[in-house]
Parts: sequence; structure tokens; C-alpha cells
Amino acid sequence: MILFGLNQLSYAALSENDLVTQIDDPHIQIGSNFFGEELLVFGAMSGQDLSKSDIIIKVEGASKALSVRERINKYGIWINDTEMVIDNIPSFYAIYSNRSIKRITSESLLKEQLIGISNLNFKSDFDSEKSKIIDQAIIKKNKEKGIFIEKFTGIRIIGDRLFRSSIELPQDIKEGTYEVSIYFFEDQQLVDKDTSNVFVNKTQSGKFIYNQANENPLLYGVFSVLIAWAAGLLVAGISRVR
Amino acid sequence: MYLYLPIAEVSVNLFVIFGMGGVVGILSGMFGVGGGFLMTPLLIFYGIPPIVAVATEANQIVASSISGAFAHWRRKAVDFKMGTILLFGGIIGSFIGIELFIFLKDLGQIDLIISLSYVILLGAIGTLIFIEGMRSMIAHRNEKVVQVKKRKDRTWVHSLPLRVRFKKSGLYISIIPPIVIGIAVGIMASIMGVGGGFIMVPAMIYLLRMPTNVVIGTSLYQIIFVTSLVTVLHAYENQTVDVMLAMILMSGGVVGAQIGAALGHKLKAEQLRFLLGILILAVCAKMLIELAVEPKDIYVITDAIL
Repeated sequence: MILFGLNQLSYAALSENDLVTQIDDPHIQIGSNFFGEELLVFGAMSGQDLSKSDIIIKVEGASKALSVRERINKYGIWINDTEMVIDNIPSFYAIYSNRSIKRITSESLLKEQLIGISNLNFKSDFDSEKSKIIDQAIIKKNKEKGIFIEKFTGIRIIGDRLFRSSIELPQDIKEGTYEVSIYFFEDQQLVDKDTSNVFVNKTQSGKFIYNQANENPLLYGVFSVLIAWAAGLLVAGISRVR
Repeated sequence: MYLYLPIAEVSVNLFVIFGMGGVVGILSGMFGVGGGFLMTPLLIFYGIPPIVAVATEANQIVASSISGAFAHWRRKAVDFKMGTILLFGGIIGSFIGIELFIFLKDLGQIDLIISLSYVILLGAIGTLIFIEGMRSMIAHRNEKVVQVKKRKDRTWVHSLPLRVRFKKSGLYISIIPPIVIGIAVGIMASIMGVGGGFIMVPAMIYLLRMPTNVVIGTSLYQIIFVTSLVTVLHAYENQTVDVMLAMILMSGGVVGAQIGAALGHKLKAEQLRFLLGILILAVCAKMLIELAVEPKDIYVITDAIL
């Protein structure tokens, strides 16, 4: 869990338009019984007219390429068609805000800051009609998996000054560095932005097994077989005693 | 209790997996079959990626075939010479199978081929068991003596070159047929995650004319080493062996096999065989339906390998 907490500073020490955030412990551990975690983000803002202020929080994981295959019906069964590769897809992407982002600021500013799932730029090298359909399929699937999130009621602003949000990290979130950006808008204008990193680590046996399987595959394979041999011999021994 | 499997990358209910290991263990204890041909489809139905199900099931079969082989070895019911020749073929087949597996995986068609292989295999085995179970039940009811076909002593198999004497089996035959059988079993082990006993055993009896008492022990002896090799090859080439999943299945299987062996003595064999046939056909039908029904997601999305 991390805290974008309020510093020990008093409100008076803040400059005109400002946002205060702080990371206490930006490390998330995934154990073998990880069921998702809540990332608690909060902070304080100061400015001229706080009744017109809005906050957007963006959490983004490293981009990667996906392989997409259309399922086509051939001879009565559904088979995979040829592969299409779509690049530049964040492994995790969450937008939390206190109200609809379209009301917070202009479409062009959202686009410029890459805020909003519809403003993500997936890269593909086939015709645009097809790629639009596929982009939608990817977005739909990632939303279902909980790795693409848009929650326009996800931030609570308390007394015009403090904000608070808890971002849901799904169970199958990948290990790595996640960038957390907090945007402070006042009267449609972006007045401040704070960016920090959160680190997700897999711990315990799960990570050890995964690493061994990928880094020492031969040794891992031999070890798996040895376990099976030991188990088999143990059972053979038990049955003999009987 | 839920557990996150590190290689399959899914959370599973520990008791469901243990229970599946147990149920398949009971069946293998009762019928003397390995159970890989049921376990792999069950794992796929539960949501384990097919390529992980296949590789991990090969790993589990290593354990169950060792304990089985030891029991037969104690009764001196293993023809080691024949087993080693079958194993030689099995090693060749495993390497061919793995290459084929990687080729199909790169084509994006491996899941389809795994499912199709199972539909064909389970359909064939299920039908055979079902018919045989029904025939013996009818024969039993009519109290007719089941006619045993007189087997021909010599077939085309026995006229092939490279003949060797197999003392234990009392045979003097060419090594070509056992090598070919071994290759077929090795390919199946790599692609389907099965031991292949249900193919090897009939082939040894009807094709090679081996005495029935050494057939199961000899096939288990071969399966130990072929599935060991297949496990290592899958781990090395595809990183798809989930050792955590394998261990749960092994422990479930051990418990189940003990129960199954005890049950097998008490229940009527023909009726059980009939039920096993129905069960196998049901799994086959489910697999076929999943291939034929329009998928919920028309696009299959996976991480790209660049």
C-alpha cells in the first residue's frame, strides 16, 4: 500500500496553486495467495478557487505488444486465423477522477496528456477499419480482466482541500514499475502534476518458481522430474510396507 | 482455499485440483489406466492453459507410473529388454513431438490441435470401452460363454528383419514394430500429456503378441522415462511445467489410487468399465462442443512474442 500523504507542512506553506503528495511505501508484494490489492492515494491541494478544482489519477504499467487472432469457423469448428500484432498497449491502465474527465477539461488536453482509455495510441500495421475493431476487442478484454479501469467517481474530495482514492490492483497484475500521475485541474486548466513510481514484486514461492522456470529452464525441468520420482518412490515404498 | 499457480498464472481452488487428482487416481487405481487422458482435459476445462496442462500432466504421470512400475517389477512382470526398445522409440518420438508442439504453438494452433487430438482419442477409447462393456454385460446376462478368438501365431509383424530374442516375453521378433510403437507413444506424450499406455498395451498384446502378464509392467517402465524426458523438454523449450500444480495433482492421485485399488476389488468390473466408457465419451463431447460453439470472444488475445 502506498500513501500519497500530506507532508508535515501546514497548508499555509503551500504555494498558490499546488498539490502535495508523498509516497510512504511504494512497494506491493504479490504472494502465492494474492487477490488484488488496493492502492491508497491521497493528498492535498491549494489554490484560488478550490470549488472549481478537479483531480485525475492515472496509473500506468509498462507498454507491451499483444498478439491477436480472429476466430473463424472452418469445417464446423472455430480455429484461429493468422496473427496480428498490436503494439504500445499498457500492461495496466487506470484512470480515477472525481467526475467525468470530459467535464474536467478539454478533449485536446486529455489527448495530449494521454488521459482516458480512448486516448491511448495502440500501434498496428494494418488497415484502420480493422484496427478500430481490434482495439475495441483489446479494451473490452482488458476491462474484463480489471487491468483497464476508468472510474469517474473514484476520487472523493473532502472539504475542497483533501482528496482520497483507492485504486484496485487486480489479481493478475504483472511484476514491474507502475507510474502514478496525479493531475490537478482548476477551472478546466491543468495547474499541477505529480508523478511517482510504484513497484510491484512477486514474492515467496510463486516468484521463485517462476524465475527458476524462466531463467534455468533445464535445471527446473530436471528438478520437477526428481520431485515426481521422489513422490513415486515414496508411494512404492508405502505400498510395499503394506 | 485458493492458490496462485506461478506458471499457469491463474488462481485455483486447492481442493478442486486435489479432488481432480483424487478422482482420476481412483479411476486409475480401479482400471489400471494412467489417467492422463482424463486429467489433461479436466485441467483445461478448469481454466489451466492447455500448454501448461499438457506439460504438467506429463510431470504427474512420472510419479504415478513409478509407483505402478515398482509393483509390477516386484512381481517380476517387466520385460526390460522390450521396454528399453520401446523406450528408444519413445525418446525419438518425444523429440519429434516437442518440435511439432513448438511449430504448432508458433502457428497459434496448438490449443486447437490439443483439443482435436483429445476428441479423436477419447472418442475412440470411449467407444471401444463402451462397446466392450456392453457386450460383456449382455453376454453375462445371457450367460453365454464369450468366445475367445483364436489368435494367429504369426502375422506380418513377425516377418520383419532385425529380429531379437526377448526371453521374458518368449518372443523372437523384429525390433522395428516396438520402435514404431514407441515413437507413436512419444509423440502423443509430448503433444497430449498422456503416458500412452492405452495405446501401447493393446499394441503389445495384439501386434507384438506379448504375454498379457508382462504388458502393463513393461509399458509403465517405458512411460516413466518417456514422460520424464517430455517434462524436461517442455520445461526447457516452453517453460510450461507448473511444479506447484503437479505436486497437488500427485498428492491427490496418491490418495485416489489407494482408494481405487481397494474399490476395484469390491465392484463388478463390467459395470465399471461401462461407466468409464460413458465418462470418457462425456469428456469427449464437452471438448467437441467447445470447439463447435461460437466463442464468446471472437478475438484471441495473448502476449506477443517478438
